[in-house]
Amino acid sequence: MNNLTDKIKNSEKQYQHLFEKSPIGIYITDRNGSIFNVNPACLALLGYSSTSHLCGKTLKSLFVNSEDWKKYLQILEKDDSITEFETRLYHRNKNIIAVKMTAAIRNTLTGKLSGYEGFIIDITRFKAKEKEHWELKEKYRTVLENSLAGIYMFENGGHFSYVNPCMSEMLGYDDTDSIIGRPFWEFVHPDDRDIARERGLAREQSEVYPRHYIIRILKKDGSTLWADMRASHVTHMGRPAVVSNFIDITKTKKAEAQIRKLSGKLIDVIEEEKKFLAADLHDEFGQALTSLKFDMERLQKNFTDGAEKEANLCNRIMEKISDLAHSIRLTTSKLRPDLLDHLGLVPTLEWYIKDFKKQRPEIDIHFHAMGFKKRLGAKIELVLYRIFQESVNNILKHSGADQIDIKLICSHPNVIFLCKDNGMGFNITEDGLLPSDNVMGIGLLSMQERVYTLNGKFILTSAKGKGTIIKVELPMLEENNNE
Amino acid sequence: MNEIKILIADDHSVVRKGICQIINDQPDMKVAGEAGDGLEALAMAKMLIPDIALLDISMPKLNGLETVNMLKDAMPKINIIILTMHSNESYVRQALNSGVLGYVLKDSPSTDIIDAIRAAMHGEYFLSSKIKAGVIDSYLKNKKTQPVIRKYDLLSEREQQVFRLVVEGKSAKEIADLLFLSPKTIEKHSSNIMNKLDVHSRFELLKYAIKIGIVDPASWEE
Repeated sequence: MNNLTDKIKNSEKQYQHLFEKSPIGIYITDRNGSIFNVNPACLALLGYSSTSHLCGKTLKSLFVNSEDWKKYLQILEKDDSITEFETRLYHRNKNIIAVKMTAAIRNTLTGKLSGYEGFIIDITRFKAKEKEHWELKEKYRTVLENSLAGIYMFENGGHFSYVNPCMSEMLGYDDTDSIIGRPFWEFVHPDDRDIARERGLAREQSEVYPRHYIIRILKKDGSTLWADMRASHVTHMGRPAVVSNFIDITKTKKAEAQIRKLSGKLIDVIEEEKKFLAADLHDEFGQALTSLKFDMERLQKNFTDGAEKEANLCNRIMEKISDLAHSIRLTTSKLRPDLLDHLGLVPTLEWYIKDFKKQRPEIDIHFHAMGFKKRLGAKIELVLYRIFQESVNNILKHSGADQIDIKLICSHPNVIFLCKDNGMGFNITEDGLLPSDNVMGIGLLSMQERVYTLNGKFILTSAKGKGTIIKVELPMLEENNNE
Repeated sequence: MNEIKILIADDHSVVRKGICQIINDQPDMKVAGEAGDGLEALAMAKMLIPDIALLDISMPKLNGLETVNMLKDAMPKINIIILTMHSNESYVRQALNSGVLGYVLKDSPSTDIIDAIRAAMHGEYFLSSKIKAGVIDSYLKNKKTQPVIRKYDLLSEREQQVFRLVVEGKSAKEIADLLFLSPKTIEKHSSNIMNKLDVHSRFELLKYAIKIGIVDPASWEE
C-alpha cells in the first residue's frame, strides 16, 4: 500500500516538474472556460508575473478575435481536441501576440465536461519573419515585374528560369511562360547567335568580360530588337546561373544609322565641293594665267632694241604671273591633292613623306606600302589620304612624337592603314572612347565617321606615355571604289 | 626636210591656241591635230601618226599620264612631251618611267616647248629648268638598280587572303569553307605562301604577320 502511494507521489512529482519547467505554455480551465491553472512558461508568454493575476480570467477574454474563439469551441465540441490552432491573444501589456494552441476536453470520472487544457506556443517572431519574407518577396516581385528593363535568369545549360513580364512583352510574347524553359540562343539574331551562345554558356560557368554589350534579339514576329545588355555570372540556389537586364535601343540604333548616313553624305558633299573648287581654280585661273603668259611672251618679242624698259616690265609681269600660278596650284592641291587623282595613293603618300622629311627633319618618319598590285578605288584612296593627313596632323599638333611609322598593307580583300607614334599618348575610356576633354576628339571622330561610311574598322590604341596606334581597315568593295 | 608633225592635247582651248602659235611660228614644225582630252588624243594619234605628242596632265576622261602609257603601248615609237603646270617630282618620275622624253612646265618660257621638241626628235631628254636637278640622275640610277621587293609583295591577292586567315588562327578546313575552295587548295596556297615569305612554320608565319603589322598593332614593330 505504502509502495503504491509512493509510486503515485513520485509520478505526481514528475508531472509537476514537467509542468513547472516546460518551455511550452500549458493552460487548464474549468468548464466555463475560466483559467484556473497555468505554468510559468504560459505566464511569461502572456506577460503575467503571478498565477493569481491570470486565474479567474476567461480564456475567451484573451482571444483578440471572437470568431476564433467560436471556432475553437466548435472544433472541440466536434473532435474533443484541437491541434495546430493559430490565433492571436492579448498580452498583458495590451500587445497582441501570435500563438499556436492545442486543446483537449477534460471530463470528470462520470464523463461530464470539467474543463479544457492545452499548450500555447508563441509564434509572434516566426509570424513577423514570415511577414518580412513575404514583404521582401513582394518588394522584389514589384520591382522585377514592373521594371521597364527586360530582366531574366538562365541556368542549367542556358535555359531561361526567370523572365520578367517586360521582357516577354518586348519580345512580343503573351506571357513569360512562353519563354521560360527554352534555351536563350533561340532568341538571338542568327548573326549574333554563335558568339552569344558561346559567351552565355561560358558565363554560366564563370564570369566573362565584357559584361556590357549590344546584341540583336529576335522577336516573336521575326523582327529584330537591338538590346543594350548587361549580364553577370551568379550562384542561384547553389547552382551557377546568369542574370541579365537589357533595354530596347532599336530606335537609337536606327537614329544612329541615319546620322551615320547623313554624316557620310556630309563628308561626300564637302569632298565634292573641294573637288569642284579645285577644278574651277585650275580650269579658270590656271589656264587663263597660262594663256596670259603666252600673250606676254609675244608682246615682249615686239620690244626689241631700244625698248628695254618695256621688255623688262614684261619680264616682271611674267614673273608675277608665274608666282600667282604657283600659289593657285598650292591652294588647289590643299583642297584636293592632284597627285592622288593622277598617280594614286601610294605615290602621293611617298611624296608627302619625302616633303615632310624636308620640312621637319627632326622627326623620324617612315612609310611602307605592301602588297599593292594596282590602284585602289578613288573613294577609298581619298578616305585613306584624309585619314593619313589627319593622323599626321594630330601627331604634330598634340603628341610631341619624334618617331612616326606609317604602313599601308593590301590584305585582300581589305586594305589596312597603320600609324604608330612614340608621342605622349592619351588615356582611352573603358568604352574605347576618348575622354570628352580630349583635344584630338573632333579629328578622330571625323576619321571614324569616314571609316564607318565605308563599313570599315577603326581601332585606336593609346595610353598616357605609351604613344598611339591608329589602325584602319577598309574593305575594297566595288561600291567603295566610285566617288 | 620634212616638217615635224605635232599632236597637242589640252582641255583648254585658249592654252591650245597659245601653243599652236608658238609651234607654228617655227618653220619646220606643224601642229597636226588638237585634242581636248586623253581619249581623243589617243584616237587622233592613231590616225595622224605624229612625230611628237604634247600632252597636258590634268585632262578629263583619261589623264595625261594614263594617256602616255596607252600611247606607248599602241605606238612604241612615238615621242612624248608633257606640258603641265605640275612641277611635283613624283609626276616627273612617273612620266619618265612611262617613257616620256620631255617635261615642260607651263610657266617656263615658251622656248622650252620648242627646245623639248627638238631634243625629243633626237631621242634626248629635256626638263624645264625649274624642275629640280637630280631628278633625271636619280631616275637613271633607279632604272639600273632593281627596286627592293618585299617578300609580302610576292603574294597574290588570293594568297594575301589565305595568309590573313591562317595568321588569324583559322584551320585549313575553316578557310576552305569561307573561300568556297577545297582544303587541299588551301594547303597548296599555304605552302606557296611559306615559300614566298621564306618561313618554315606556322609560328614563324605568325611572327612575320605581327612584324609587318597585319595581326596585332600593339606588337607591331619595324
